Amino acid sequence: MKFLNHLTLGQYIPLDSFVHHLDPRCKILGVLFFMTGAFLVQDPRFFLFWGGILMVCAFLSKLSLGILLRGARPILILVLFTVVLHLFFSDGTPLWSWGIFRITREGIVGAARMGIRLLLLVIFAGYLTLTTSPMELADGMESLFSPFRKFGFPAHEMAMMMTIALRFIPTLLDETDRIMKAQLARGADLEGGGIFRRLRAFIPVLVPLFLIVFQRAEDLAIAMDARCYTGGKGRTRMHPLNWHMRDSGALLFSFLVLLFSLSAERVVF
Amino acid sequence: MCSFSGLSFQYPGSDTPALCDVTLNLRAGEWLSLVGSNGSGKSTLAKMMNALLIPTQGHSYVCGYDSRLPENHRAIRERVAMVFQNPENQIVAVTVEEDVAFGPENLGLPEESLKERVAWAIEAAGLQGLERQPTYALSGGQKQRLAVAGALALNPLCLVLDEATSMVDPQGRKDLMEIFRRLHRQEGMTVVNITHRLEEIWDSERILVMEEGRLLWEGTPEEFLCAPRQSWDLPDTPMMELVAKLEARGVIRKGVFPLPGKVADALCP
Amino acid sequence: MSIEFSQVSFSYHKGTPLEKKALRDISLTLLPGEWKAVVGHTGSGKSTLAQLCNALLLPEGGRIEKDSRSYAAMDKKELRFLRSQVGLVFQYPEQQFFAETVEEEISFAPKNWGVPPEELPRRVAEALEMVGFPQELSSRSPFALSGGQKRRVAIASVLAGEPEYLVLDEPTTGLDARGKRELLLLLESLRHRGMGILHITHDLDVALSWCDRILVLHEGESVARGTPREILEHLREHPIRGLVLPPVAELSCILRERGLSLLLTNDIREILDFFTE
Repeated sequence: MKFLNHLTLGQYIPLDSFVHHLDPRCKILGVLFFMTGAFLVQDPRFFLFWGGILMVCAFLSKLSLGILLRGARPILILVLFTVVLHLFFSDGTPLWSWGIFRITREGIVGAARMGIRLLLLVIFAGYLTLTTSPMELADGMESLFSPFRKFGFPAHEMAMMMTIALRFIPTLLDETDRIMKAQLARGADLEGGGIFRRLRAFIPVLVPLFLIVFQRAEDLAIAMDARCYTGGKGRTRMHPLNWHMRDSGALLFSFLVLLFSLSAERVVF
Repeated sequence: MCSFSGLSFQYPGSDTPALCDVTLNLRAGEWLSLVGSNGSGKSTLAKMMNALLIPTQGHSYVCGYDSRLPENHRAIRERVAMVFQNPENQIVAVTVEEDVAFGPENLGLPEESLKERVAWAIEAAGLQGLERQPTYALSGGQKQRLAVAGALALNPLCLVLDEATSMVDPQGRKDLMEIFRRLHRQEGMTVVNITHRLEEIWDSERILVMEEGRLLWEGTPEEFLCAPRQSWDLPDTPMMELVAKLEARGVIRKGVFPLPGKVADALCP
Repeated sequence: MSIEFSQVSFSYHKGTPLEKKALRDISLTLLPGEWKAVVGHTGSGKSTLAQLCNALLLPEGGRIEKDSRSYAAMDKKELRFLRSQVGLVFQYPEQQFFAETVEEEISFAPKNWGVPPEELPRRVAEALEMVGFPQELSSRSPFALSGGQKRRVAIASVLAGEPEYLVLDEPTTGLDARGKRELLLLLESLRHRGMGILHITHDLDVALSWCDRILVLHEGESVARGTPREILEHLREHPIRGLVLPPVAELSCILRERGLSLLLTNDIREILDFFTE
């Protein structure tokens, strides 16, 4: 279980690159622009363009293309599933068929399109977390959402919750492991049986975890009070977010990429 | 520093008072030990010192501020900082540096002061070089030192330790006590140590014994050796008998208790 | 009749860049009626050792055997039986509570081991008696007990499986001095009943004062083994970073250095006796 610590916390790879030094707000918005453009890809041949963008991203962040692409690993199965669905079950001019399965030209295009869209989406999302620390992300989100505080949106509270949750994920994973082992040592069977049996078997793991979490919440609240926490009002930051020219430049670039991808496809194809 | 008179407190929903008519004057720069069995009210009394709890009866003034007025709480908590028992449930941030900064950030200090305070607190707690470390990866002793650093970053006049050493291993305990001693000696920090470890009382100038919400006895460590401890609800202390006998035989110096690692200091030449 | 570790090694995250060798070539024997301590600072591999004892983890190198049967050769059924024979009490064991009554909590283990329902009340009663917990409180919620009581119920919940051996990972942490003493007396009584006890701790004071034999771990390796007195002699010559000598033992070391001919000890009575001659 311990390796999961590094998965959750360690999507972030700290490096000294142009992208790493960008303001997180710029990165969040920029990635959103990229994701929008990628999701609206019409012609799968346009992936050459997006491939080029990915290479630029990799270069500017000093990360290898391989690491970027690895971000797609968690959803490969989903992508495969979607691709297969489009490939074998679409309507159109058939090229080959066997029973209910048929491959059509439209099917191939549709499958490739969906596949590329999904992969790009996940890769860009992963790119954001690879180049931005969790704390920066929380700060960035808090800042982006703070105009909505006027309408009652709890931007600071949301960011605070995110940070605390991130801080405790590895701890909770360790504790889950420990409790599971303690119950296994008392003969609990956490593996065998049907779905209901397994759910029931996990009660001796879930109840203690809940209790630990509730106690933790109470203790933490008291500790935060003792350190003069009274919410977001009047709080300063040791590493405040500073917007620079390069952030404007990068954001402009990503916006242009989005515009280009929306319009160029129509022109070229 | 703190002035309590006729202090009483009852937890809502409880039928017995947790504190009963307690009168105490805490002097600036002193080291006070608060001992007593579980349920004696020591933790409750400690929480009065930084206004986490306010009395249901009686007066409570901390650094001149009336702790019953909520508007004074921030000023009180800047001056009286607290370290709790469970190292894990005091840490809110993902890295060491960010966690130490939490307190001063809540105070709204400017960036420069924040950095100064954090650097000083980290050094005082012996955590230099660990600024960027993720908090979950710290050892138990390091986590508790982080909690101490977080408290110190508020620049308090008084440090209240609520069983701060009880969940830490012997080496970690030793490190912590060293830090408290240094702060007391060099910075003139007022220290209130709530503990059930009788070997920790020897650093203090005054010992307070509590039982069932009342102050039972008050005196110096030397007086404690001769006090009628048998009738109290405290653990037996064969070590103390040994020390008394060895003192009588001229083996151990009068008034110096042999602490782990410092036994040689207590011996007569 | 014994549990035998032979040259046991264990690493975490093998094959990844995070690989960490937790234990290296550890050999130890646990006999019934023996109270053995494994002492080391945090990170010395103690918890790993605890989990190897009842096959929650399997060694990567070396062999673990119970009554000459290797853990590696055991099938699922045998492993389950093994866990009922080698009880493991984790640190802060009360954190594993989930049941509504003490009785239910303690029945959990025997029920899992296949003990028939008619037998359960007897097992619960015996386990409670062994730990000195009043039978009248068995319908209380385990969460409504004091710290010391919780600890005892947690141990009872492992004892209800009627194990031959008991492995405890830091059983006295978080207890006040009275609770600690009561727990140690409980372990002594279990030892007298013939149970083999492996007591894993960073508290050298407890190990020196209560245990028959001690194994000292440092960074995953065993650096010393023997009786408490032998360990004290060893530590006097080769102090180990992270292992703090308790004051009484340290006192006896210093007095010995000053030329007094007393045996190194952590026992206050022995020092007092020496001076009352």
